[in-house]
Amino acid sequence: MITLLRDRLADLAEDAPVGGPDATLWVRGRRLSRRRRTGTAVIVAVAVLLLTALSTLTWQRSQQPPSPAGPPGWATDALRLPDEFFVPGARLDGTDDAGEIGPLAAVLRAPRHGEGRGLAGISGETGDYRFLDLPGWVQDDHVSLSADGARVAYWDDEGVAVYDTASGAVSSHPVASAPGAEPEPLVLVGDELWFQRGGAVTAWRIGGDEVRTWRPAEGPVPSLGAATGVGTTLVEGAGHRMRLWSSGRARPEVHETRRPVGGRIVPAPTGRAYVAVVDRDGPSTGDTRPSAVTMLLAAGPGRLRTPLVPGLETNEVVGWRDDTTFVTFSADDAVFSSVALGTGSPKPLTRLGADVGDVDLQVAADAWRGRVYEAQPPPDPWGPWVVSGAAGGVVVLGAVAVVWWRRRVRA
Amino acid sequence: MSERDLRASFEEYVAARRGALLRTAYLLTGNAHDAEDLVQTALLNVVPRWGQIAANPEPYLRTVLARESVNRWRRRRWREIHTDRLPEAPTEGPGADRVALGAALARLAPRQRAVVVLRYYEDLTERETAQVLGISVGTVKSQTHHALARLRTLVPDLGHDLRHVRG
Repeated sequence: MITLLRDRLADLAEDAPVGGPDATLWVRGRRLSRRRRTGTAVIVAVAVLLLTALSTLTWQRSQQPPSPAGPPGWATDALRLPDEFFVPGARLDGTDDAGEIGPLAAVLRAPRHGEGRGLAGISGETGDYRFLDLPGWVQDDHVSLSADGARVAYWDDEGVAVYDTASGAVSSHPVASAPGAEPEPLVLVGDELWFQRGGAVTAWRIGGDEVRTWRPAEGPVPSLGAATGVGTTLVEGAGHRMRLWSSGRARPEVHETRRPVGGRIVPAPTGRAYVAVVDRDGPSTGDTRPSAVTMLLAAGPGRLRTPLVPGLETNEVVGWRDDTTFVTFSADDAVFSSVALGTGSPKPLTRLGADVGDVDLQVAADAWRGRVYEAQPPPDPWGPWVVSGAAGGVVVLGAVAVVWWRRRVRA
Repeated sequence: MSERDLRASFEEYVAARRGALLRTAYLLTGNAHDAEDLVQTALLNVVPRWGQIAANPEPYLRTVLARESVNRWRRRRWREIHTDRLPEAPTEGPGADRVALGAALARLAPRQRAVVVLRYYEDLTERETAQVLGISVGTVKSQTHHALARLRTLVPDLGHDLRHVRG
């Protein structure tokens, strides 16, 4: 009688198949080993290829495109104009880490990793994109880019500040009065920054003292909402009036216009001619339909002729390409066009990229006169978690594939 | 050692020990076909490293057999239907004890089954069993305890025998 578990197990094992030599085992074992090695090598090679591709792609996405080459004889210090504006990736470099990029062709707002929205600059020399690390920047408030792209003015925690795009230096000017409920405009005109706070408008000589403040109780106050500048003169107007302001005078030089104008009145580089869209419904309607464009030409003391640019309707006039060609923006197709004064026929100049939405793009006035180059999309670096996750995924998948293959393969 | 010598040594080992390996594999799997397949897989796996283990291949082969049997059981578990009732078995005669024990082993969890086979058929110590299965000695003890308790329930006539077995 079987009395111990071991004996019962040994007894049961007698039902096992009978063993014996098998001359094929060695050859099949060798073949299996070779197959396993080959399959493993293929999987590892594929994983290495994927990791190499991933690292190459990661590197490429973090690199700026090659700088646009200027034509022979083109001044290297002149601002250049990209043929398309893009929204940069949220992890684009900032000036704190990567340094300044010099005079800017334009600035725009874009989502920035960890900061909500950032202000990105586009170099007027190299076409590089970089987030501007503006100390104390109040994100939702106005900014202003100077005509030469050398300065960016913005509201900071204590007042206004002006950032030098070449050196990164910031000049700030405290503003005592409390901010209003709405963002308040500011405009760079020459070496002065004009800003509005609590109904009053101040012209501040950058880095120095205040030049002048206009208060509603004391007389007319400049309207900065759609103001432009030429030389040291601030230009604004609405309806049948255009006003030219100078920090040296308490009152503006007022010019009557036969046609009502709306939006920005954009002065030619010479300062002797202006263009603006015609305000057909008055300033209060907020009509955004394309409208005719009028020139504003001197017709005597305090009077301006307003001949229409023939056959042209557009949403906005934004700058001058040269003394006889200005630049318009068409919202329907997001295209900036150059328009000859004499003919009124628009020629596409540059455009907003397909995914560019409300970016508050500001182009330096001098950049509208710059050579247009073929722009490349800016860097769009992946986050470290994306890269490490993808790499980890490849490694894990490779390991799973190796295990699966080694189990599945047969001799 | 040359390739020819290695092969000769391997084939000599297979001729001598394949039967013993099949018996262990049969206890681990409970099925003759599975046992043959398990042993073949283990031997095929051992060929590439025969040069290193030819002097003492038994521990490595035992490890491959035990772990592969557990892994196979896990892989196929989802497609098999389990029942709480043991299959009909002869209650008398020379084969009755074998059938009853085989059916009871089949009801054990794969690791419990491997622990029983390694401890009480292969006569390994708890530490050796733990090394073979890649688990802790404590786990071996607890698995042994539960396996023996289950066997006592499933095969009542083993109860008396198992009182002599430490678990």
